[in-house]
Amino acid sequence: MMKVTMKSSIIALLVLTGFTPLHQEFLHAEAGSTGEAVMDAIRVDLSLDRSSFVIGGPRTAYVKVGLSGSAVADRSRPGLNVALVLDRSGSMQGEKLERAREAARYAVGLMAPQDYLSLVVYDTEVRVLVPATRVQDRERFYRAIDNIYAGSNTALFAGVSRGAQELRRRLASDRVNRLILLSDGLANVGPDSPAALQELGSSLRREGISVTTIGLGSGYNEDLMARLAAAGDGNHSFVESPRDLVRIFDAEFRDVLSVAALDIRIELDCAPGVRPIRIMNRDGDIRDGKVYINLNQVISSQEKYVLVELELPADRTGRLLDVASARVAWRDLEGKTGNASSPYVQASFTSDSASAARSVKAGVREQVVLQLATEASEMAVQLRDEGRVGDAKKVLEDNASFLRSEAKDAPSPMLQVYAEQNEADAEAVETDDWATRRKSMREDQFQNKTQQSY
Amino acid sequence: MKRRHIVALSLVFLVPFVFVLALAASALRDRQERTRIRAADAAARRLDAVALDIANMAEEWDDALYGLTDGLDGDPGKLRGLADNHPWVRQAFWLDGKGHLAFPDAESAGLREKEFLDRSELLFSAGLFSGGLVPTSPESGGAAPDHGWSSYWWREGSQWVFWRRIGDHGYVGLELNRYALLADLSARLEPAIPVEDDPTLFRLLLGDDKGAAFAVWGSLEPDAALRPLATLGLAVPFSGWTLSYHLDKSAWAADGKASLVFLLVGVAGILLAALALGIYAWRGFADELRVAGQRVSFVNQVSHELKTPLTNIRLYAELLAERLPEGGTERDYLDVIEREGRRLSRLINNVLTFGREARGTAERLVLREGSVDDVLRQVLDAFRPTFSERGIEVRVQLNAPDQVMIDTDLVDQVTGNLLSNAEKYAASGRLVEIETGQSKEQSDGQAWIRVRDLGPGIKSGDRSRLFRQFERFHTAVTDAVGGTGLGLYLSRTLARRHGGDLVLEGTETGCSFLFTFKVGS
Repeated sequence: MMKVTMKSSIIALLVLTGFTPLHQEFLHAEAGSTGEAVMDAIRVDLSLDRSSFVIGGPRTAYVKVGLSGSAVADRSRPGLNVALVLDRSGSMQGEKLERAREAARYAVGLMAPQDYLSLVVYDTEVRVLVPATRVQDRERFYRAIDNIYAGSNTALFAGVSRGAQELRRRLASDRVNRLILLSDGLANVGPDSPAALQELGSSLRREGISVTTIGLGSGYNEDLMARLAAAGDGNHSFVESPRDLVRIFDAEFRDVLSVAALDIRIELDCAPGVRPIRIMNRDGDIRDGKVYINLNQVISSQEKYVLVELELPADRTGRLLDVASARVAWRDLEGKTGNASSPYVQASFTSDSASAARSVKAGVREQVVLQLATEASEMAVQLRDEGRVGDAKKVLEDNASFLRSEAKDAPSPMLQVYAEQNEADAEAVETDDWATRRKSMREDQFQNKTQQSY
Repeated sequence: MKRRHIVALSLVFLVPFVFVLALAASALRDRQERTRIRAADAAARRLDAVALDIANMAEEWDDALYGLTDGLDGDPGKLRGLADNHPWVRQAFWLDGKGHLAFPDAESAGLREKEFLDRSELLFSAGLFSGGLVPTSPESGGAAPDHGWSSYWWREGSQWVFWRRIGDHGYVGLELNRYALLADLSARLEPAIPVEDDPTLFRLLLGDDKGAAFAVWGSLEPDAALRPLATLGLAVPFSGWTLSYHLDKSAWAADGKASLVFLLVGVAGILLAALALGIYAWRGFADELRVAGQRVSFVNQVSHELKTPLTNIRLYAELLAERLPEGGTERDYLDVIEREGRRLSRLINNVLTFGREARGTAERLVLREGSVDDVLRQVLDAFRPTFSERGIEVRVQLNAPDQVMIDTDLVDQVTGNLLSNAEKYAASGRLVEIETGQSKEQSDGQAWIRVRDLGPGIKSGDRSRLFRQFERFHTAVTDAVGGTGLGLYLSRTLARRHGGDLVLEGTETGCSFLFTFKVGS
């Protein structure tokens, strides 16, 4: 039923806008109330990694759905609803807490009077120092921040829960709702497994609350923090030195302020014969030949994309085949819904392997390589966790070579950097430095998959 | 002061002291126990209040999920919509009227639904949905419930399922995002702990079904030995969860310390009072003793004073007797003077001996060579006139003629006392028999003297008191007669000093005293 309507609207759009088979940019299913064309909050870009395949050869294709928010200058500053959840367990005592207070004060300074901010701290128990309040009396927040002192244990789950509750009180469809968690240690009161926090994160995301996690020092659980942020569709950073906290907070708020649209729903429709295999860098669902991915927000400063691996049907005709089309819906910061559809991107099979090779689209290929390399890096971490140090090292070294050769072909400086990173990781696998290294690897993996803006 | 007095006095202090201490300790324990029970009750009430809050929250969830499932009827679109959008729902499923899983089904299942089918095998086989996959609820009795909660274990922990029967069509089930609900619980649960409670002294802990701490209030870190004052288990969907309340001992035992001090002070006070009393009594006792001693000294002194003139009287009476012819009236008068003089002398000796005994300065034996019989003859000579005057016949059997080492004065004194008693108290019997004897051994021999009368005798009840100091029996006879009451007491003391004894032999009539003593050669 859904395919029929898709096809009709696609045909309508094809007629209206024209198209290129490989790369489809498209928009506007709705005009603004004035009847004029309204600049959409999001620009959607659907691409295949190549348009030509060798007959009888591999049929794996990658389709990329890219989303970019419209420029900040073109619209008003979004209203914010932020919860700062700060760890004040015993281990934060000293410089860490001092810098955290400093960063929190800085954050208060970045907020506008119409924004809502809540301040939650936790150790063994949770305290709401300032409930979700308009940032009009900044002194109130500064006073509360000055009174944060170190306690004992770490009730991380409770802290996040309480922060979310504060956000819920001011939850609005035209605000950016974000929970920022700062923690330096291991949760030891309440649920403390990465799986538990991941479940919580996914639930919060569905409510429209994004969760950013900042891990401070080398004592926190990076799996927990990364998975919470991944499920919560927020950002994740590994901050080794407390002195970097202000800078990180600054970058996070820039990210928050560059949100262009909220509650994004992507539906990728695969043509008959085309089989979606997996979604590479995000969580989603595959049903009836359709791929569903939801994002909480899209920002203007950075393109976010989803990469889906497809299997094309075997074809010897050489005809142009439909591969996939996308439909994206969102809500802008004024609360108005928008959506866009694309026609099918297309590909064909040929016996000319040279022209098939030339049909590779460098930009998408680069992103595919990055995601494949990120998966390999994750595999290496798993091997090292299992104690298979030698195997882990080999995977990372191979990954580095793979990246280097791809970087040369493209050419891609970004892949070259990641290649060097993998080499360093491979060396660190055998050393005492592994605990710290693992945190930075998780951070890299996360940021590669989500295209974090900082 | 004698040792047994010291022991007795110590017991007088210690026994009540120990008793009071035991009482105090017991009272203290009781009081602590009462305080602990009060604290435990308060703790239990607190836990009840928290459990009620949790139950109320679960009730709210129940209502919300019930509302969520309104209008559902197995339509996959609606079920998917719930699972895609609601923060609390991981997966929605449908059981048909016969209890078979109708949605999701393996053919049309997407990626997530396939994952659900994998893990829910346990859900459907765990017996929670038994007998054809119809949900069973823990509650029984009354109408079958139309909705409820179930749980099953998978990987990290228990998975929660909310189910609802939709008429006769079937059942809708919602596999829940447990942590979303737990986050709601965590954010809203606020135990009403009084502000004045010191957080370092208590710990209220909500533990999950794996025993891990879910939420903690209070900063007390109890060691393994401290048991919780109260615990409480929770109901569905928190089966296996517990609330516990630990309170530091100092919070409810502090009372005890003050009481202990108070009681110790009280007991010490009692002890001091008893000690003071004892000292006072002892000093009184010592005073009495001292005064008694002084009296004895005085008596001795007097007796000594009396002895000197008496010696002169007897000496000059004896001298005079030598000058007077026998048989004359003057001689008779002098005999009386001599007799009375001897009697007086004996009395004074008794008193002096008594005095020395009392002061503990008894003289040693003065052993001289002599024969028992000789001594006895001398004594008899002194008494014969008195006996004949009173009509008492004297029969004598002397069988101890050998020369032995004896304290003749001592033997004289004892025998004199016995005869004096016989003369005073047994005159009615008209007969006194005296017998002496000695054993045949040469070195460690024994001699004895028996004085027997046929007087009224001693009542068996009075026998035990016979040899006591100052004891005089009040009978018609004795009351009319003098005597110090010292005679038998002293005689026995002297007899024992001489390695023997003085005993009253059992006789049917009269008295028979047996005086035994050691004799050496």
